[in-house]
Amino acid sequence: MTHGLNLTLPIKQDAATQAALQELKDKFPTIQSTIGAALAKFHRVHFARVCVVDNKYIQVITEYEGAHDEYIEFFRRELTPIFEKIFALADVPADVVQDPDKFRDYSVSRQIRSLGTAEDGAVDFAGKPSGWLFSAYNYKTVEDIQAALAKA
Amino acid sequence: MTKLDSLQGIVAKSSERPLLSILLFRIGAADNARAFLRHWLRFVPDGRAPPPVDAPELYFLFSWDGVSKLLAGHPTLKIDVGRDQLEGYFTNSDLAPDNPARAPDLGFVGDSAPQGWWEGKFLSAEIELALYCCFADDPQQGATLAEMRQSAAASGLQELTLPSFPQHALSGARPPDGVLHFGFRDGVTQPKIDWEDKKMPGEVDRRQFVIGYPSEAYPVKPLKPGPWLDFARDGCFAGLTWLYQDVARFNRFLRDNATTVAAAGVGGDAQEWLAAKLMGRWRDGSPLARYPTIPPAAPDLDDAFGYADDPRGEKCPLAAHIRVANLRDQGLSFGNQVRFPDGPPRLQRRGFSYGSRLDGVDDDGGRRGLVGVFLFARINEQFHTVLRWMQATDFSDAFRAIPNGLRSQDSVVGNRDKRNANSQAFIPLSGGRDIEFRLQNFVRFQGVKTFFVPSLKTLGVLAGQWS
Repeated sequence: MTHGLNLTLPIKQDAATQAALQELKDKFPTIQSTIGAALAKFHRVHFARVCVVDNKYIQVITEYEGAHDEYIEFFRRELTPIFEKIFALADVPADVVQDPDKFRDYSVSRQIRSLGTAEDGAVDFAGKPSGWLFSAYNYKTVEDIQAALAKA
Repeated sequence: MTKLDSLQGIVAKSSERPLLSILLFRIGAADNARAFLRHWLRFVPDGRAPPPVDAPELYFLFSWDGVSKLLAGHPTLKIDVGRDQLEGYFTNSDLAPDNPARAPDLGFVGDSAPQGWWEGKFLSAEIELALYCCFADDPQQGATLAEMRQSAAASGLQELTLPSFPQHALSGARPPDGVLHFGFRDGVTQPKIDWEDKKMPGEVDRRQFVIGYPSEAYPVKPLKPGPWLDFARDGCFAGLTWLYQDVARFNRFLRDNATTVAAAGVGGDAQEWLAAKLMGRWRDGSPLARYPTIPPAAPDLDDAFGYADDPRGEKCPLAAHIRVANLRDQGLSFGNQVRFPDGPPRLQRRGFSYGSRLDGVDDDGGRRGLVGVFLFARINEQFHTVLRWMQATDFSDAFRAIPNGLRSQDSVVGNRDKRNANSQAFIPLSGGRDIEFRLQNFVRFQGVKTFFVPSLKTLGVLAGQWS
């Protein structure tokens, strides 16, 4: 089953936070390399991107597969400094990234469900049907696709 | 360093008593329940002292609801703070094994679904206290259970009984020869724990087994100093896992596939060969990693073996039970290397067998299986993770070496009813050949519940010793 992560955080509007946001934007070419290197080795994420909407919201959007209970802890550990930067833009207590439970609870609370209903039986962290996510290749996994490409 | 005399003895070592029972209770009035605990605390040995010969051994395990009831009114241990400070997979029922969002990944679907647990008599959420009881003989078991039940009833504890057991409670024994229902010698491997942080090769960090010493590699909650860290220190969690073993089906599987094995020219006893390939050990406990084709003349129980020289599973199949449950030197996938920088999750085992032996392929309708009691410090990162890995073997890149390997399952414990599961057993042979079999459900989960096993000091706190 393929899941859609639409993590959406409101960005604080004070001057210091907006300056930090600009710094994040400026440094993102380096940050994206770090994220990309981790995801390349993870073999569970199809696509990933980070978006800023009118300097008011920041979104981490991915398409991934695997058990929610394991995926979240991988990201917390592997990308701690990056999540600290992103979470600092919102009004999130500093210790959230250090605490597996708080990180999970916060991430789940900021997930925006897409409209519609998943067609591959995917469920969200609470076990409820996920929102619609179109797949052009019948929800094949990253591993399946990479293996097929290797044979081609 | 962890002082073993601060632990309930079961955390440090297995009891040597042959008979075991686990009584399950709901707690009524907290004051009376605390008095019950105080009365029976004297039978709880610590992790170092030998228990008295003529008395039973008792150990106390609590659910979060049980902890909450017993600490009601405590001056410093506030429940709402504890709910936040302890691991969420203990305090939050949405994260419990029987929750519909968690159960499928853990293999609790079909005949193993939570709806059928505990003989349908009660829900996991109703269990607030478990007493793990170890007895020297039948008379001691009978007398102690009777006395405890009388004491519990007088203290307002409601016992949650299981009528299918003669004792009306999870009860069984450790067979003297160590052989469990599928006919294999068990208990060969237990993690050697580095209680003193000496970092000796081959020893497992104590943080996998006791709470209270969080580190970067082991972010075991509570993370911050305070009353709840003091409360949890030197405790651990226990995963009570009641399993039915379908011995007749297992034996039929071996019989029905023996012809295929013999045709492949593996030699020897085809059924025994196939049984060993599913388990990863011969019936006598000797590992396939050392004896891939025939068992040794005498059992070899030396646990110092690995799989580094067997990447495709020609000696020990990748999905053999003992290779999934403890992958030893087999590499983890990148995501799991990140989650487990110090090595794969381990569990201590304190379970026992129940029910009469069955030989042959005809089921007699009897109840038999295993009452697993697994000990660990992190619920999701150890207990739940090992359960998930048994149901989907995508935890190691080694499984890429076999067809559809990342969706394989533990050959013995895997639930073939799990969605998208690959129920084929792939057994490689030398020379690039292989044999495949369609696996069946050889076990059924009949009840799973996670408990907190407090230190002796904290046991006193739960018993009302607050000053």
